[in-house]
Amino acid sequence: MGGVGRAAARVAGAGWLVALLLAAWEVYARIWPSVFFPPLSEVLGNFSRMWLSADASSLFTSDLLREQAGTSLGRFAMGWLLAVVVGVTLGMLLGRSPVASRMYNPTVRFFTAVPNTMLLPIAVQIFGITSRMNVFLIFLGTVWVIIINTADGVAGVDEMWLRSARSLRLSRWTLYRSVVIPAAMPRIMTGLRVSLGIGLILMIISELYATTVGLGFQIVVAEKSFLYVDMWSAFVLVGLIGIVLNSIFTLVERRVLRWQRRSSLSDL
Amino acid sequence: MDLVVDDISKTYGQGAAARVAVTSASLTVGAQQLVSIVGPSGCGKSTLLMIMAGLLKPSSGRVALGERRVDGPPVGLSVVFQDYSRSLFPWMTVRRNLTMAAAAYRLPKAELKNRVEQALTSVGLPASGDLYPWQMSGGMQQRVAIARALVVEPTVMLMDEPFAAVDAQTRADLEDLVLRVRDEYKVTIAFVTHDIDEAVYLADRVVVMAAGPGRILEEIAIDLPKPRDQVETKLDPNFAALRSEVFRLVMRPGTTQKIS
Amino acid sequence: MTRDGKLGGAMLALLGTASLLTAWQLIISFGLVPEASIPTPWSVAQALPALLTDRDFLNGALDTVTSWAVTVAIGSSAAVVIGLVTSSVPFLRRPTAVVVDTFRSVPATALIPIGVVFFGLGSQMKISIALYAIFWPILINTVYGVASTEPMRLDAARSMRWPWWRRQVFVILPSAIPSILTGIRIATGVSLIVIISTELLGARNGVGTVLVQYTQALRPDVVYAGVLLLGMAGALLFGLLVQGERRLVRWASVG
Repeated sequence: MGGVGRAAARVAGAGWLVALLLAAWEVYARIWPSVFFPPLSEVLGNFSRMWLSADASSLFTSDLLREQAGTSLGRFAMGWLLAVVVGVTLGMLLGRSPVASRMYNPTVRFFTAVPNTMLLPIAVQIFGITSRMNVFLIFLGTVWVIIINTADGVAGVDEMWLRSARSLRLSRWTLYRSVVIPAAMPRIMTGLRVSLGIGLILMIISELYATTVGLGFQIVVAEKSFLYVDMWSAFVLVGLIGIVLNSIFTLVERRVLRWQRRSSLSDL
Repeated sequence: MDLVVDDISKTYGQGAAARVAVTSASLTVGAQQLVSIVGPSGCGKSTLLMIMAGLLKPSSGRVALGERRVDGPPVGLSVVFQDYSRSLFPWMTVRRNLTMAAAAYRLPKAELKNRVEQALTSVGLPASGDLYPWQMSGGMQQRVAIARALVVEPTVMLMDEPFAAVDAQTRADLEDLVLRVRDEYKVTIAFVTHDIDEAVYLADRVVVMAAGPGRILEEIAIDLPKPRDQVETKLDPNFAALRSEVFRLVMRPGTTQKIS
Repeated sequence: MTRDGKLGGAMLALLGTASLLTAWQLIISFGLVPEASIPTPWSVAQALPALLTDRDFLNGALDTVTSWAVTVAIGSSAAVVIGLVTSSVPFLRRPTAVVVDTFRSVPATALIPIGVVFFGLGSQMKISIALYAIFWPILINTVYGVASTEPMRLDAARSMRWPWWRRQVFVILPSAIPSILTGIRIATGVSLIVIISTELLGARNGVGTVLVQYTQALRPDVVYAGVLLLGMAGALLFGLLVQGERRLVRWASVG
């Protein structure tokens, strides 16, 4: 068996259960037909009509896909990346300063506990129905969990490492770059992973609630127009985007945490 | 009942990656004997013990307890593992740990209760039943592990480097504890260790193993007087002689010369 | 911490919170944002008593909490059982991991319009969507927990001749409990987010439904007071969960 064959066998060995569940969708929808629940094949056919094109120059995507997904992902990227920068910075400050952490810990814990979709009416009130509203919500909903995990990670750096770093007379900057940040990295990545999931949830809900463009809007428009096959193909697109973003994150995480021996689910 | 190991081999992996852990090992542990199995790391002594316990399938050969072939953990055989902190159940109290050890034996309630209390008394922890293992010191935890093995009143007890993780004084106490419960419970014991003093001090017979591939090198009868005593026995010139003999076998298996 | 240290900590916490409240007030006083869209801290505080005696709000809160409790109860028991079973069948482990990785990446809120089509605007819709959202994190944590079972403990159980089911119940499940509780803690947050999302989008009852009504009635002070209450309730719930967790798995932190 060649390398390609072996890789294919590996994928089949790992992915058959997903395939089985998708097949169950198809079979169920064929046996008990319902306008609400079209068979997978029908959804996929519609998916390619809606979202794909024959044009290689645009990577086979349709204009609609680029416009809608581009808008959604643009909002997501702005809100989330802003949250990452602000969250990691504030988390570092709180993690290294006991006084600051005592002062602001209650606030951070409070905002982590607020079910952050609750902020949606507030965001709409402040920004109206604009993309700034979506960005603001995604930012405000994800920044706290990043702050908490960064602060915990930085505060939890092994005192022995700090001591040995000091005995090497490292400069403050080097100390941070080569000891504190790497040591806190696993926790920081945990925070980022959780925030990624929350960010996507908020991206969609904010578009379902009030917008005129975006992936969430596509789902809700199809629903309101009784175009259930369209609704499902928009949902599948959102799902695929979620899967791709999470996979990219997993790759980055593995690369960043290379040094850490870790049993991830995919090692099982 | 005798525990008979007959021509056991164990190979891990297959083909080019195959690694021989133990090859054609045979030994017999007679009823109420204490046999120490000693050897350098990687000689397969723990593998051999796990095969004797029925926890690991041999690649060839057979183990028998009395008349019956061992092909799974047999009735009346208990194991004391190397690392108490990883073999006791930390979510159960000491008493529950002991009670559950006999769960498969379907004993009457009163009888089970008696046995649990008796086992705790035998290991010197009569009042510790309500503690959790993690509230105890390492030595105490290993006593609990021994008590847990005793609850089923085993005919055979297998001990896998049980005292590797405790300090020297505690270790001496625990060694004497093993000798005491051996007499009290009339139990046959196979005791794996890498400590030569310990092997000689405890045993009626020492089985020396060598590495690469793991195999039995030699069996040495230990005819030191009983009861053993941490000071008296170790002052005995015979002890010194046996000790050096085992030492030579373990450390320089190629150049062995019998001294006696 | 000493008594003095605790007092000092409380003082600092008060100081920090006060500084943020002042900043909030200043932003409005200097007209950085219009007061129509952000109420002052004081007016929010004034809205609290009204909200706490508002029957609609209290009924909505009760409905939200009930949906949440039902979701977490059903979701965790299903996910734990399925996690234990798939973990004990070697050829299911990797495929399950792939299924979990796939489905948990789908943002649950995208299911809300679909849920509305299927179940209408009642509790059934809320609970079904929230179940989807929490099932995967609990399942993944169960599988992690099972995988972290100490092999020597399993050997010990086997040497005591425990049958399969007894090893599952008395060794593997307890070993997985700390990880399962982490999963349930995550699920608590996620299910509240999803349930309130469904309420914002038109579910018939719930705290989100009531606050949307206040938004439409242009009462931002009440909406902010509601968020404040929910945040405090959430923080309280979270604290209780952590406490309970610590008590339940005292052994895990030590051994």
